[in-house]
Amino acid sequence: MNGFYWIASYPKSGNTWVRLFLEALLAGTLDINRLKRAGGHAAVRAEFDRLLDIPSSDLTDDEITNARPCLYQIEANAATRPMFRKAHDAWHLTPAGKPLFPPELTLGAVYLVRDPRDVTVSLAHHLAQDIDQAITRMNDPTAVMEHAKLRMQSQLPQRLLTWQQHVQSWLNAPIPVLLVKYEDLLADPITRFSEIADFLKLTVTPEQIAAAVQTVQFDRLHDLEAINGFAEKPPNAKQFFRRGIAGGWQDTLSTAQIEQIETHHAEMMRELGYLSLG
Amino acid sequence: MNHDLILCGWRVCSTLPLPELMPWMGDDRPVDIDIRVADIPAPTDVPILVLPHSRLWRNGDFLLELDGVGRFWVAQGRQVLVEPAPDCPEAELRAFILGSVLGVLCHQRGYLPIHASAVRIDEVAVLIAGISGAGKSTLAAALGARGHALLSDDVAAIDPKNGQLLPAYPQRKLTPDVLNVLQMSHEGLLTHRVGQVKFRVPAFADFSTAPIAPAAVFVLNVSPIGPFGAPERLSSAKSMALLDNMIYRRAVGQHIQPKPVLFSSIAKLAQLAPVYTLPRRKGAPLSELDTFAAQVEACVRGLKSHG
Repeated sequence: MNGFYWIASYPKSGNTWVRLFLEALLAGTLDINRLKRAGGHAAVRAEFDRLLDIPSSDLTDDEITNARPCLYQIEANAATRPMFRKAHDAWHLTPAGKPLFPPELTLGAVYLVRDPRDVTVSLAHHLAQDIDQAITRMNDPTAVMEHAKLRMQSQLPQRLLTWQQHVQSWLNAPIPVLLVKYEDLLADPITRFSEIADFLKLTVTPEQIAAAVQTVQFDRLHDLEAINGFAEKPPNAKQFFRRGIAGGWQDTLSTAQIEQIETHHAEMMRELGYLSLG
Repeated sequence: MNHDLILCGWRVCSTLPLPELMPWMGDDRPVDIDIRVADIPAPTDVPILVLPHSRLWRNGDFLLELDGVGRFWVAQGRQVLVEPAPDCPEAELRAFILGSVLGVLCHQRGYLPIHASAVRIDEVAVLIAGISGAGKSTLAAALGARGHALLSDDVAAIDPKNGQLLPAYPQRKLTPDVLNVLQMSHEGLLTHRVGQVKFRVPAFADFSTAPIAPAAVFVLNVSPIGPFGAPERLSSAKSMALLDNMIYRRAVGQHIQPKPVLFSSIAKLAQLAPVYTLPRRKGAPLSELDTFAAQVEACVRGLKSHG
């Protein structure tokens, strides 16, 4: 039996960038709309329906979440090599009390974290909402991504918790976790992406890493999206690859908004060095 | 009290009221399917398939189990035993009887259940297939608003002998935004499941239980990136592969029906009904829904005029 490496993060924290890097590294080429080697998403409705052989449209959110660990068991039973799965869910227990991501099927998690002030701005664009809505969402312990408020989504509902709780949930999970800061990936991509490749036990050369890093440079992804579109862009968002910088919040957020975010998530922001300890 | 009803042309006798079904108006034939609230047997042998909600035994006996809802035993294509969970509303039980249980009954009876809604356009059946959330019921309802009666919602049963569709029961499942666009009210309607946003909408108007020949299968393909052109007719090999993917309760069905039997049922359907992929932009506004439905309608009428 094989297991999973979860590529986990709160939304808008560099998850897609890392997956595209893995694709470029392992496949040797990159078609952003046809990933072959980067692994899928942990909450694809069609996969749930196919492998558990029941229409998820007949199930409640709780029934779906309770069944998801079985989905991973079935996938692991059939796998011939370690699998990568993108995950936005917090690491949490299902309503039935079982870990959503079973530790016994887990090889490890790359957890990506990004300054929540930047996440706020990016999330607002992604959801086509205003900044204050994004701030509220990131401080909502009941926040669920892709919850069917109006109509069913192609992804299953994913529990996020607050931004701070999301980070805590993965860092405290009883599994090997590699914490990677988005800002560090930007500042020194070769070193950080090499650490990720090591953690995932990938047999690759420094040249391959360098080539893959080159392939997923932000400007190139931005251009690829402009030419071909990007399947993972939400319908209402203008673009997926928007700015790809660190600290963009400083010219976007008001003083009051900055204060709110820093108050909501103070503890974890200090721990991660996003706020000074004073 | 027993209820004498019709489902996919079969005579159903049920101790549970099933208000979604039409009353049996046919001849005095023996009951085809018996549904009752009763204790479920406990087989001693090991199931051949175990999934979170489903268990299947070698002889084709099937158990569906949902915490807080109930357990459903489906045997020999003719017996359904239901053990409701305490305090479970009857409507919740019906969501599964008219979904998964119906799908397994089809397999046990040797019929081909396709994950599709179906409408009647000018006296032929048109199937709208697709994965959960693709918009099958929505498109069927938009076609309904253009005057085309519903034949099935979500499960389309095909008779392997002649490839004909057996109309299931007259109910749609629609979200409030779609109801709103179609100027229908959801006042007084039950949701599909407690807490869900989909409503059960009766569609008795023009519902006919007579078997009907399918003339086309459209497989919805929802994607955020194009091209979003006209429906594309598939080669027979691709049609077979896509229909195979669209078998309802496929994993269970493949254990109940021998593969050559399923293959031949799919071939029969594909022979009668050309298969099209129907591209649909993810997040397309509902204001475009009628235009989308008109495109499907035109495609079907074009087919007929070309013989």
